[in-house]
Amino acid sequence: MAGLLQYKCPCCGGAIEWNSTLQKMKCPYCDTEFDLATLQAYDQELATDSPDSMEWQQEPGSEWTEGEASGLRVYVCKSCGGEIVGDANTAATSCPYCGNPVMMMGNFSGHLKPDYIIPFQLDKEAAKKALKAHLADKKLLPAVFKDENHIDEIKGLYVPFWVFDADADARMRYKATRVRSWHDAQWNYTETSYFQVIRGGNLSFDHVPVDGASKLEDTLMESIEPFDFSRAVPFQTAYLAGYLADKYDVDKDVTVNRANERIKQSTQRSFDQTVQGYASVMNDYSSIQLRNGVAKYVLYPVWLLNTTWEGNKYTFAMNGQTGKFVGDLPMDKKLYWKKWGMIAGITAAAIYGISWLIQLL
Amino acid sequence: MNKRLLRSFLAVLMGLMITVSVLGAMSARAALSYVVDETGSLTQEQIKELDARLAEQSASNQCDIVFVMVNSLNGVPVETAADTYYDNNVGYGAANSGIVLYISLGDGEYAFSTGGYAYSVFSDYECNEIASQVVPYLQSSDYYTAVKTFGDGADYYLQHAGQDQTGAAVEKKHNPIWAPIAALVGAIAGWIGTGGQKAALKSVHQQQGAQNYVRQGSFQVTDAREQYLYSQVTRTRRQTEQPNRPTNSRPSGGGGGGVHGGTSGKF
Repeated sequence: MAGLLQYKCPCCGGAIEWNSTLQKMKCPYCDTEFDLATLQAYDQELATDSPDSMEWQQEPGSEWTEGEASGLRVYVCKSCGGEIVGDANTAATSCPYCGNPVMMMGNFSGHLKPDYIIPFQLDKEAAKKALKAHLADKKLLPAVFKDENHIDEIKGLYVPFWVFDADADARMRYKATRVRSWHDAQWNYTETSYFQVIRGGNLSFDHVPVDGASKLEDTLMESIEPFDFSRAVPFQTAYLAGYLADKYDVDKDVTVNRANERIKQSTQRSFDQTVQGYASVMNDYSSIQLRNGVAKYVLYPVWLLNTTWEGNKYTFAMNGQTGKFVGDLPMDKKLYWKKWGMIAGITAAAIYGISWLIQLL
Repeated sequence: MNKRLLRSFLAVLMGLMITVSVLGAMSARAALSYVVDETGSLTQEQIKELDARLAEQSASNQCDIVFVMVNSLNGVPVETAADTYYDNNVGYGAANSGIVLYISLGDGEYAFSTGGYAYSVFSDYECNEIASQVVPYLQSSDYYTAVKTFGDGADYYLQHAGQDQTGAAVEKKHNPIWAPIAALVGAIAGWIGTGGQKAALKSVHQQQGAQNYVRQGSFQVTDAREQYLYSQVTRTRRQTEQPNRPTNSRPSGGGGGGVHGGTSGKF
């Protein structure tokens, strides 16, 4: 025997009943009326709902060959514990993460070999110039901070990234309204019509990066994006000559969550932008299925400078490919309040003066 | 040559239009009676004398001062009758300034109707002051003195507008609310003014989404549908906005659309 079929009210979620007088479905809780065909179509749409599926195939990275690994050295910072890799001819004189000058050298072992590398395209001089430009015209930057910066200690570092490719199949559902207003002699009327808007489609992502180095803040690395993967080449140890490289210490399975989050945000936004012509739109449901998900292990070029000022650590980073330079700067609080006081005082005095003038007129 | 002719023609035409409109306005002014007596209580000589008096006071104050006396209101509220008379006959200058004292002898009622500049001069206080002086003469059927008293009272308040009841200039007190307003706006301006410089120090931000990594041309919408669910209609009563004047208890829309103030009473 078939089970009792029950429809839920799209307005309040209550169970809807057939009203024989109206010959329509009517919600006993909110009194909204519906055609049966509307409810059947609404229910069919709900039945297709499925949770997000974000599965990734294919393991990134590969094993080092014996010859490759023997040409590499590992440097360990005695201060912060950071481990960096350099070729046998590159001496790490200080830690790129904390600036500590004591680095212990050891033999390279373990870890995966990167699939790709984007070689440095901007040299140290470009990085120093970008840092100077970054510090210029910052009116609230303490003057002493510029002078105390060890600009020459800026270091080129290959930062490990996991990059993710995937095709996203998406299905979105929105609750939207259109509003119509009119009036007669006595009343203003407003009619709000409610719609279910459905969007489905697909979108592909290439090389969404998530940094795999725990010593570097994720937001700092995201701030120097984007990297142009079309300039990436298959990894060879030769590219490390003259530079240091970090090894990944955050696994792909951990970083994939951030990639999923970003892919989901962008997919959602792309479909949201197609829902137009309504007074209000609210996302009711979204389901994103990833296909052909592939992860790669790559090294991206970054110029780094760590500096400490008044007990706080400040890290600056420049995209070694595009030259985008970032890094939060300290604020001269005394100068800030002085400027605030000047603007506030002058504005308040002007307004108070104008109020007297108005009174006199 | 043609252009010069056209310009001359337009100049003459404009001159004619201005002359006609000025003459029209002058004739309209000339047609206004400042004392209207439909009851026959005043003699023609008295009407002529009082009309000239109110006309002079009106001109010197640039505000019509009009006295109307009728036998009956015929069921119309006295305020409405006063406002209607105002709308149809009274109003000095572009602001349509004026004050009408409308009296119905048969009903024993009177009402002031004010408009334009007079609306701001004659609050309940001024109207009641004039009424307190005029009503005794109405009660004793001395209509000649009633008109004179009304004219002089209206003239006095128009001459002394901006002064207190003792004749001294009203001291304009500075509202103390301006001090905290100025301080608040100053503080906000301070935050806005330094906000940009403060924000310039921060350049590390988390990326929202992965828009930079969307494969070009890969976005495809394969299903785009809209399904109507239901509608809801709400209604609210329409309201006609009227300017509010706290010291004037009778702001009203007149028959001709003007806004009037004034008071009314019985005698």
